[in-house]
Amino acid sequence: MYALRLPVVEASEDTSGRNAVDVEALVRRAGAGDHGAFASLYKLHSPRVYALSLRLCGDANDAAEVTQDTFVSVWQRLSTFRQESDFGTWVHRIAVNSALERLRSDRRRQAYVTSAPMLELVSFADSDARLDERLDLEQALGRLPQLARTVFVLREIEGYPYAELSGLLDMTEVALRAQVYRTRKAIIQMLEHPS
Amino acid sequence: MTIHHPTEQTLHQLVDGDLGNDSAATEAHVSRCPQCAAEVRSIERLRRTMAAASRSIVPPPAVWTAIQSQIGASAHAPPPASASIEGAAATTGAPRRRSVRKSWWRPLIAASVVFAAGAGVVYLGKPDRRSSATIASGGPAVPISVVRDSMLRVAALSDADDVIVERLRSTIARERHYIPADIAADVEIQLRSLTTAMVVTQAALASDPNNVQLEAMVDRTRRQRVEYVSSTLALLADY
Repeated sequence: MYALRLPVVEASEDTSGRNAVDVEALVRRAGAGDHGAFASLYKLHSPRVYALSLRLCGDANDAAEVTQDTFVSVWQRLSTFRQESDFGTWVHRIAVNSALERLRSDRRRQAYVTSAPMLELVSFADSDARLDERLDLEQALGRLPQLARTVFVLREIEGYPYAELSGLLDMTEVALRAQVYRTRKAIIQMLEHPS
Repeated sequence: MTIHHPTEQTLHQLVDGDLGNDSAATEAHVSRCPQCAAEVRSIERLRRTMAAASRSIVPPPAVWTAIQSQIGASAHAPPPASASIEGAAATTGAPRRRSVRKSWWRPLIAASVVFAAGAGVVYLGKPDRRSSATIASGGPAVPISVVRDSMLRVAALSDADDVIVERLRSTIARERHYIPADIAADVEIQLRSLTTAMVVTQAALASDPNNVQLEAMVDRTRRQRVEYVSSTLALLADY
Protein backbone atom coordinates (compact mmCIF):
# COMPACT_ATOMS: atom_id res chain seq x y z
CA MET A 1 0.00 0.00 0.00
CA TYR A 2 2.72 2.44 0.98
CA ALA A 3 5.50 1.07 -1.15
CA LEU A 4 6.96 3.45 -3.67
CA ARG A 5 9.18 2.02 -6.35
CA LEU A 6 12.63 3.48 -6.51
CA PRO A 7 13.72 4.67 -9.92
CA VAL A 8 15.72 2.01 -11.65
CA VAL A 9 19.26 2.93 -12.56
CA GLU A 10 18.99 3.14 -16.30
CA ALA A 11 21.56 3.52 -18.99
CA SER A 12 20.48 7.03 -19.73
CA GLU A 13 17.24 8.90 -20.03
CA ASP A 14 18.06 9.27 -23.70
CA THR A 15 18.89 5.70 -24.41
CA SER A 16 15.87 3.79 -23.20
CA GLY A 17 14.58 1.32 -25.69
CA ARG A 18 14.74 2.91 -29.07
CA ASN A 19 18.47 3.58 -28.98
CA ALA A 20 19.56 0.27 -27.52
CA VAL A 21 20.75 -1.18 -30.82
CA ASP A 22 22.33 2.08 -31.90
CA VAL A 23 24.23 2.34 -28.65
CA GLU A 24 25.59 -1.14 -29.13
CA ALA A 25 26.85 -0.21 -32.57
CA LEU A 26 28.27 3.06 -31.29
CA VAL A 27 30.09 1.26 -28.51
CA ARG A 28 31.57 -1.19 -31.02
CA ARG A 29 32.71 1.60 -33.31
CA ALA A 30 34.08 3.70 -30.45
CA GLY A 31 35.92 0.64 -29.15
CA ALA A 32 37.56 0.38 -32.55
CA GLY A 33 38.79 3.96 -32.23
CA ASP A 34 35.95 5.88 -33.92
CA HIS A 35 35.97 9.28 -32.26
CA GLY A 36 32.70 10.30 -33.89
CA ALA A 37 30.93 7.33 -32.35
CA PHE A 38 32.45 8.22 -28.99
CA ALA A 39 31.18 11.78 -29.34
CA SER A 40 27.68 10.38 -29.87
CA LEU A 41 28.01 8.22 -26.77
CA TYR A 42 29.18 11.25 -24.83
CA LYS A 43 26.19 13.22 -26.03
CA LEU A 44 23.84 10.47 -24.90
CA HIS A 45 25.32 9.77 -21.50
CA SER A 46 27.09 12.90 -20.27
CA PRO A 47 23.94 14.70 -19.01
CA ARG A 48 23.24 11.91 -16.54
CA VAL A 49 26.88 11.79 -15.44
CA TYR A 50 27.07 15.56 -15.02
CA ALA A 51 23.84 15.76 -13.00
CA LEU A 52 25.03 12.98 -10.71
CA SER A 53 28.42 14.65 -10.28
CA LEU A 54 26.85 18.01 -9.47
CA ARG A 55 24.82 16.54 -6.66
CA LEU A 56 27.60 14.43 -5.24
CA CYS A 57 30.31 17.08 -5.43
CA GLY A 58 28.18 20.14 -4.82
CA ASP A 59 30.39 22.18 -7.08
CA ALA A 60 30.17 22.83 -10.81
CA ASN A 61 33.93 22.80 -11.35
CA ASP A 62 34.35 19.46 -9.61
CA ALA A 63 31.37 18.08 -11.51
CA ALA A 64 32.91 19.13 -14.83
CA GLU A 65 36.18 17.44 -13.89
CA VAL A 66 34.45 14.27 -12.73
CA THR A 67 32.57 14.16 -16.03
CA GLN A 68 35.82 14.64 -17.91
CA ASP A 69 37.62 11.95 -15.89
CA THR A 70 34.70 9.60 -16.38
CA PHE A 71 34.64 9.82 -20.16
CA VAL A 72 38.40 9.70 -20.55
CA SER A 73 38.28 6.55 -18.44
CA VAL A 74 35.41 5.18 -20.53
CA TRP A 75 37.44 5.79 -23.70
CA GLN A 76 40.48 4.08 -22.25
CA ARG A 77 38.47 1.08 -21.02
CA LEU A 78 36.11 0.58 -23.95
CA SER A 79 37.95 -2.54 -25.00
CA THR A 80 37.13 -4.11 -21.62
CA PHE A 81 33.40 -3.40 -21.88
CA ARG A 82 31.31 -6.52 -22.39
CA GLN A 83 28.45 -5.94 -24.80
CA GLU A 84 26.04 -8.06 -22.79
CA SER A 85 26.20 -5.43 -20.04
CA ASP A 86 24.29 -2.17 -20.14
CA PHE A 87 26.62 0.53 -21.40
CA GLY A 88 24.83 3.34 -19.56
CA THR A 89 25.00 1.48 -16.27
CA TRP A 90 28.69 0.79 -16.86
CA VAL A 91 29.36 4.50 -17.49
CA HIS A 92 27.30 5.43 -14.45
CA ARG A 93 29.37 3.15 -12.22
CA ILE A 94 32.58 4.68 -13.52
CA ALA A 95 31.17 8.14 -12.82
CA VAL A 96 30.19 7.21 -9.27
CA ASN A 97 33.66 5.82 -8.62
CA SER A 98 35.28 8.94 -10.08
CA ALA A 99 33.14 11.17 -7.90
CA LEU A 100 33.75 9.12 -4.76
CA GLU A 101 37.48 9.11 -5.44
CA ARG A 102 37.45 12.87 -5.74
CA LEU A 103 35.42 13.29 -2.57
CA ARG A 104 37.72 11.01 -0.61
CA SER A 105 40.85 12.75 -1.80
CA ASP A 106 39.61 16.24 -1.05
CA ARG A 107 39.16 16.48 2.68
CA ARG A 108 39.12 20.26 2.73
CA ARG A 109 36.10 20.65 0.56
CA GLN A 110 34.53 24.03 0.30
CA ALA A 111 30.96 24.44 1.41
CA TYR A 112 28.30 23.11 -0.90
CA VAL A 113 27.47 25.95 -3.19
CA THR A 114 24.99 26.53 -5.93
CA SER A 115 26.09 27.94 -9.22
CA ALA A 116 24.10 28.48 -12.37
CA PRO A 117 24.41 24.88 -13.69
CA MET A 118 23.19 23.54 -10.38
CA LEU A 119 19.99 25.46 -10.80
CA GLU A 120 19.28 23.29 -13.80
CA LEU A 121 18.75 20.48 -11.33
CA VAL A 122 15.93 22.53 -9.96
CA SER A 123 14.57 24.21 -13.04
CA PHE A 124 14.24 21.34 -15.44
CA ALA A 125 13.03 18.46 -13.34
CA ASP A 126 10.36 16.46 -15.11
CA SER A 127 7.96 17.24 -12.39
CA ASP A 128 4.98 19.28 -11.39
CA ALA A 129 6.64 19.96 -8.07
CA ARG A 130 6.82 23.66 -7.40
CA LEU A 131 10.00 25.54 -8.21
CA ASP A 132 10.46 26.73 -4.63
CA GLU A 133 9.96 23.19 -3.32
CA ARG A 134 12.69 21.91 -5.62
CA LEU A 135 14.94 24.78 -4.58
CA ASP A 136 14.31 23.93 -0.93
CA LEU A 137 15.13 20.30 -1.60
CA GLU A 138 18.44 21.07 -3.30
CA GLN A 139 19.25 23.50 -0.52
CA ALA A 140 18.50 20.84 2.07
CA LEU A 141 20.73 18.38 0.22
CA GLY A 142 23.49 20.96 0.29
CA ARG A 143 23.27 21.25 4.06
CA LEU A 144 23.87 17.55 4.59
CA PRO A 145 27.23 16.20 5.69
CA GLN A 146 29.17 14.67 2.80
CA LEU A 147 28.57 11.03 3.70
CA ALA A 148 24.87 11.55 4.33
CA ARG A 149 24.50 13.33 1.00
CA THR A 150 26.43 10.67 -0.88
CA VAL A 151 24.34 7.84 0.56
CA PHE A 152 21.12 9.74 0.06
CA VAL A 153 21.80 10.82 -3.53
CA LEU A 154 22.92 7.37 -4.63
CA ARG A 155 20.09 5.58 -2.89
CA GLU A 156 17.12 7.94 -3.12
CA ILE A 157 17.79 9.72 -6.40
CA GLU A 158 19.92 7.29 -8.35
CA GLY A 159 18.17 4.19 -7.01
CA TYR A 160 21.22 2.11 -6.11
CA PRO A 161 20.36 -1.12 -4.23
CA TYR A 162 21.64 -1.27 -0.67
CA ALA A 163 23.74 -4.31 -1.50
CA GLU A 164 25.64 -2.43 -4.20
CA LEU A 165 26.00 0.70 -2.07
CA SER A 166 27.45 -1.45 0.66
CA GLY A 167 30.31 -2.44 -1.61
CA LEU A 168 30.80 1.04 -3.01
CA LEU A 169 30.90 2.84 0.32
CA ASP A 170 32.27 0.07 2.51
CA MET A 171 29.32 0.23 4.87
CA THR A 172 26.97 -2.49 6.05
CA GLU A 173 23.44 -2.51 4.68
CA VAL A 174 22.09 -1.98 8.17
CA ALA A 175 24.24 1.12 8.58
CA LEU A 176 23.20 2.38 5.15
CA ARG A 177 19.51 1.99 5.91
CA ALA A 178 19.94 3.78 9.23
CA GLN A 179 21.78 6.56 7.40
CA VAL A 180 19.02 6.91 4.81
CA TYR A 181 16.30 7.02 7.47
CA ARG A 182 18.20 9.62 9.51
CA THR A 183 18.80 11.72 6.42
CA ARG A 184 15.16 11.55 5.38
CA LYS A 185 14.17 12.78 8.81
CA ALA A 186 16.72 15.60 8.68
CA ILE A 187 15.56 16.72 5.23
CA ILE A 188 11.90 16.60 6.23
CA GLN A 189 12.72 18.78 9.21
CA MET A 190 14.69 21.19 7.02
CA LEU A 191 11.83 21.41 4.53
CA GLU A 192 9.22 21.91 7.22
CA HIS A 193 11.32 24.34 9.25
CA PRO A 194 13.61 26.12 6.76
CA SER A 195 15.15 28.45 9.33
CA MET B 1 -3.84 3.16 28.11
CA THR B 2 -0.35 3.27 26.64
CA ILE B 3 -0.17 3.31 22.86
CA HIS B 4 2.76 1.48 21.35
CA HIS B 5 3.77 3.27 18.17
CA PRO B 6 5.91 1.56 15.57
CA THR B 7 9.53 2.71 15.55
CA GLU B 8 10.62 5.33 13.03
CA GLN B 9 12.61 2.65 11.27
CA THR B 10 9.48 0.54 10.90
CA LEU B 11 7.59 3.43 9.35
CA HIS B 12 10.42 3.99 6.85
CA GLN B 13 10.41 0.29 6.04
CA LEU B 14 6.66 0.43 5.55
CA VAL B 15 7.00 3.28 3.04
CA ASP B 16 9.82 1.42 1.29
CA GLY B 17 7.78 -1.76 1.11
CA ASP B 18 10.42 -3.59 3.11
CA LEU B 19 8.21 -4.98 5.86
CA GLY B 20 6.95 -7.91 3.86
CA ASN B 21 4.42 -10.02 5.72
CA ASP B 22 4.79 -7.88 8.81
CA SER B 23 3.29 -4.83 7.18
CA ALA B 24 -0.37 -5.54 8.02
CA ALA B 25 -0.11 -4.74 11.72
CA THR B 26 1.82 -1.54 11.06
CA GLU B 27 -0.58 -0.45 8.35
CA ALA B 28 -3.47 -1.07 10.71
CA HIS B 29 -1.82 1.08 13.35
CA VAL B 30 -1.04 3.87 10.89
CA SER B 31 -4.62 3.89 9.66
CA ARG B 32 -5.90 4.81 13.11
CA CYS B 33 -2.97 6.83 14.46
CA PRO B 34 -2.85 10.43 13.17
CA GLN B 35 0.68 10.92 14.48
CA CYS B 36 2.13 7.95 12.62
CA ALA B 37 0.00 8.65 9.57
CA ALA B 38 1.42 12.17 9.39
CA GLU B 39 4.94 10.79 9.62
CA VAL B 40 4.26 8.30 6.84
CA ARG B 41 2.82 11.07 4.65
CA SER B 42 5.95 13.18 5.19
CA ILE B 43 8.20 10.32 4.16
CA GLU B 44 6.05 9.53 1.14
CA ARG B 45 6.08 13.17 0.06
CA LEU B 46 9.85 13.32 0.31
CA ARG B 47 10.13 10.13 -1.69
CA ARG B 48 7.93 11.61 -4.42
CA THR B 49 9.95 14.81 -4.51
CA MET B 50 13.20 12.87 -4.77
CA ALA B 51 11.77 10.66 -7.49
CA ALA B 52 10.88 13.79 -9.46
CA ALA B 53 14.36 15.30 -9.19
CA SER B 54 16.11 15.96 -12.47
CA ARG B 55 18.73 13.42 -13.47
CA SER B 56 19.96 14.97 -16.65
CA ILE B 57 21.91 18.17 -17.28
CA VAL B 58 24.03 18.91 -20.31
CA PRO B 59 27.59 19.64 -19.15
CA PRO B 60 29.43 22.78 -20.29
CA PRO B 61 30.94 22.45 -23.81
CA ALA B 62 34.38 22.95 -22.29
CA VAL B 63 34.14 19.48 -20.76
CA TRP B 64 33.98 17.85 -24.18
CA THR B 65 36.78 20.08 -25.42
CA ALA B 66 38.97 18.87 -22.56
CA ILE B 67 38.07 15.25 -23.24
CA GLN B 68 38.86 15.68 -26.93
CA SER B 69 42.29 17.02 -26.10
CA GLN B 70 42.95 14.05 -23.83
CA ILE B 71 41.84 11.37 -26.25
CA GLY B 72 43.10 13.13 -29.36
CA ALA B 73 39.74 13.47 -31.05
CA SER B 74 39.87 17.14 -31.96
CA ALA B 75 39.72 16.63 -35.71
CA HIS B 76 36.89 14.14 -35.67
CA ALA B 77 33.81 14.91 -33.72
CA PRO B 78 31.60 17.95 -33.44
CA PRO B 79 31.06 19.16 -29.88
CA PRO B 80 27.97 17.50 -28.48
CA ALA B 81 25.26 19.88 -27.46
CA SER B 82 21.96 19.97 -25.67
CA ALA B 83 19.05 19.08 -27.89
CA SER B 84 17.02 21.78 -26.26
CA ILE B 85 19.64 24.43 -26.89
CA GLU B 86 20.14 23.30 -30.43
CA GLY B 87 16.38 23.28 -30.83
CA ALA B 88 16.22 26.87 -29.70
CA ALA B 89 18.99 27.80 -32.10
CA ALA B 90 17.20 26.09 -34.94
CA THR B 91 13.98 27.87 -34.08
CA THR B 92 15.47 31.29 -33.83
CA GLY B 93 18.36 31.08 -36.23
CA ALA B 94 20.71 31.96 -33.42
CA PRO B 95 24.39 31.24 -33.79
CA ARG B 96 25.71 28.24 -31.89
CA ARG B 97 28.03 30.33 -29.79
CA ARG B 98 27.17 29.71 -26.18
CA SER B 99 28.00 31.14 -22.83
CA VAL B 100 28.13 28.23 -20.42
CA ARG B 101 27.60 30.54 -17.54
CA LYS B 102 24.20 31.59 -18.82
CA SER B 103 23.11 28.31 -20.30
CA TRP B 104 20.89 27.19 -17.47
CA TRP B 105 18.07 29.58 -18.28
CA ARG B 106 18.18 29.23 -22.05
CA PRO B 107 15.78 26.29 -22.48
CA LEU B 108 13.20 28.05 -20.36
CA ILE B 109 13.52 31.19 -22.39
CA ALA B 110 13.36 29.12 -25.54
CA ALA B 111 9.99 27.84 -24.35
CA SER B 112 8.71 31.39 -24.13
CA VAL B 113 9.96 32.15 -27.62
CA VAL B 114 7.29 29.81 -28.94
CA PHE B 115 4.68 32.32 -27.93
CA ALA B 116 6.30 35.39 -29.38
CA ALA B 117 4.70 36.58 -32.58
CA GLY B 118 7.42 37.24 -35.11
CA ALA B 119 10.12 36.77 -32.55
CA GLY B 120 12.80 36.75 -35.22
CA VAL B 121 16.37 36.15 -34.30
CA VAL B 122 17.01 35.85 -30.63
CA TYR B 123 20.54 35.51 -29.43
CA LEU B 124 20.65 34.85 -25.75
CA GLY B 125 24.33 34.91 -25.02
CA LYS B 126 27.14 37.33 -25.22
CA PRO B 127 30.69 36.86 -26.43
CA ASP B 128 32.58 35.04 -23.76
CA ARG B 129 36.21 35.94 -23.40
CA ARG B 130 36.94 33.87 -20.33
CA SER B 131 39.45 31.08 -20.34
CA SER B 132 38.23 27.54 -20.81
CA ALA B 133 39.14 26.80 -17.21
CA THR B 134 36.78 29.51 -16.05
CA ILE B 135 34.10 28.35 -18.43
CA ALA B 136 34.42 24.81 -17.17
CA SER B 137 33.69 26.05 -13.69
CA GLY B 138 30.20 26.98 -14.80
CA GLY B 139 30.52 30.53 -13.53
CA PRO B 140 30.79 31.95 -10.09
CA ALA B 141 29.14 30.13 -7.25
CA VAL B 142 26.04 31.79 -5.88
CA PRO B 143 24.57 30.68 -2.57
CA ILE B 144 21.18 29.20 -3.30
CA SER B 145 19.56 31.37 -0.64
CA VAL B 146 20.66 34.47 -2.56
CA VAL B 147 19.25 33.13 -5.81
CA ARG B 148 16.02 32.15 -4.15
CA ASP B 149 15.63 35.54 -2.47
CA SER B 150 16.34 37.17 -5.79
CA MET B 151 13.73 35.08 -7.57
CA LEU B 152 11.12 35.82 -4.93
CA ARG B 153 11.96 39.53 -5.03
CA VAL B 154 11.66 39.60 -8.78
CA ALA B 155 8.38 37.74 -8.59
CA ALA B 156 7.08 40.40 -6.24
CA LEU B 157 8.14 43.13 -8.66
CA SER B 158 5.98 41.50 -11.30
CA ASP B 159 2.79 42.21 -9.40
CA ALA B 160 1.61 44.64 -12.03
CA ASP B 161 1.82 41.96 -14.69
CA ASP B 162 0.23 39.48 -12.34
CA VAL B 163 -2.92 41.59 -12.21
CA ILE B 164 -3.67 40.91 -15.85
CA VAL B 165 -2.75 37.23 -15.44
CA GLU B 166 -5.18 36.95 -12.56
CA ARG B 167 -7.78 38.65 -14.71
CA LEU B 168 -7.33 35.91 -17.31
CA ARG B 169 -7.53 33.18 -14.70
CA SER B 170 -10.67 34.61 -13.14
CA THR B 171 -12.22 34.96 -16.60
CA ILE B 172 -11.50 31.32 -17.30
CA ALA B 173 -12.92 30.33 -13.91
CA ARG B 174 -16.03 32.43 -14.45
CA GLU B 175 -16.58 31.10 -17.96
CA ARG B 176 -15.57 27.54 -17.17
CA HIS B 177 -18.89 26.16 -18.35
CA TYR B 178 -18.34 27.63 -21.79
CA ILE B 179 -14.62 27.07 -22.26
CA PRO B 180 -13.50 23.53 -23.17
CA ALA B 181 -11.43 22.01 -20.38
CA ASP B 182 -8.51 21.22 -22.65
CA ILE B 183 -8.25 24.84 -23.75
CA ALA B 184 -8.39 26.07 -20.17
CA ALA B 185 -5.71 23.57 -19.20
CA ASP B 186 -3.55 24.62 -22.13
CA VAL B 187 -3.82 28.27 -21.19
CA GLU B 188 -2.75 27.44 -17.65
CA ILE B 189 0.26 25.49 -18.91
CA GLN B 190 1.31 28.38 -21.16
CA LEU B 191 0.89 30.83 -18.31
CA ARG B 192 3.05 28.75 -16.04
CA SER B 193 5.71 28.41 -18.73
CA LEU B 194 5.80 32.11 -19.39
CA THR B 195 5.78 32.99 -15.71
CA THR B 196 8.63 30.63 -15.00
CA ALA B 197 10.59 31.99 -17.96
CA MET B 198 10.07 35.51 -16.72
CA VAL B 199 11.13 34.75 -13.17
CA VAL B 200 14.18 32.82 -14.30
CA THR B 201 15.36 35.44 -16.78
CA GLN B 202 15.02 38.11 -14.14
CA ALA B 203 16.94 36.00 -11.67
CA ALA B 204 19.66 35.63 -14.31
CA LEU B 205 19.73 39.39 -14.72
CA ALA B 206 19.91 39.83 -10.95
CA SER B 207 23.07 37.74 -10.92
CA ASP B 208 24.52 39.55 -13.94
CA PRO B 209 23.02 43.05 -13.84
CA ASN B 210 25.33 44.53 -16.49
CA ASN B 211 24.32 42.11 -19.24
CA VAL B 212 22.35 44.29 -21.64
CA GLN B 213 21.20 41.34 -23.71
CA LEU B 214 19.77 39.68 -20.63
CA GLU B 215 18.07 42.94 -19.77
CA ALA B 216 16.49 43.02 -23.22
CA MET B 217 15.45 39.41 -22.82
CA VAL B 218 13.80 40.15 -19.49
CA ASP B 219 11.85 42.94 -21.09
CA ARG B 220 10.94 40.77 -24.07
CA THR B 221 9.82 37.88 -21.85
CA ARG B 222 7.60 40.13 -19.76
CA ARG B 223 6.06 41.63 -22.87
CA GLN B 224 5.44 38.16 -24.30
CA ARG B 225 3.61 37.16 -21.16
CA VAL B 226 1.42 40.24 -21.18
CA GLU B 227 0.80 39.91 -24.93
CA TYR B 228 -0.16 36.28 -24.54
CA VAL B 229 -2.56 37.08 -21.75
CA SER B 230 -4.06 40.03 -23.62
CA SER B 231 -4.56 38.09 -26.84
CA THR B 232 -6.04 35.13 -24.97
CA LEU B 233 -8.44 37.42 -23.14
CA ALA B 234 -9.47 38.90 -26.48
CA LEU B 235 -9.99 35.44 -27.95
CA LEU B 236 -12.04 34.34 -24.98
CA ALA B 237 -14.20 37.44 -25.29
CA ASP B 238 -15.09 36.32 -28.81
CA TYR B 239 -15.51 32.68 -27.86
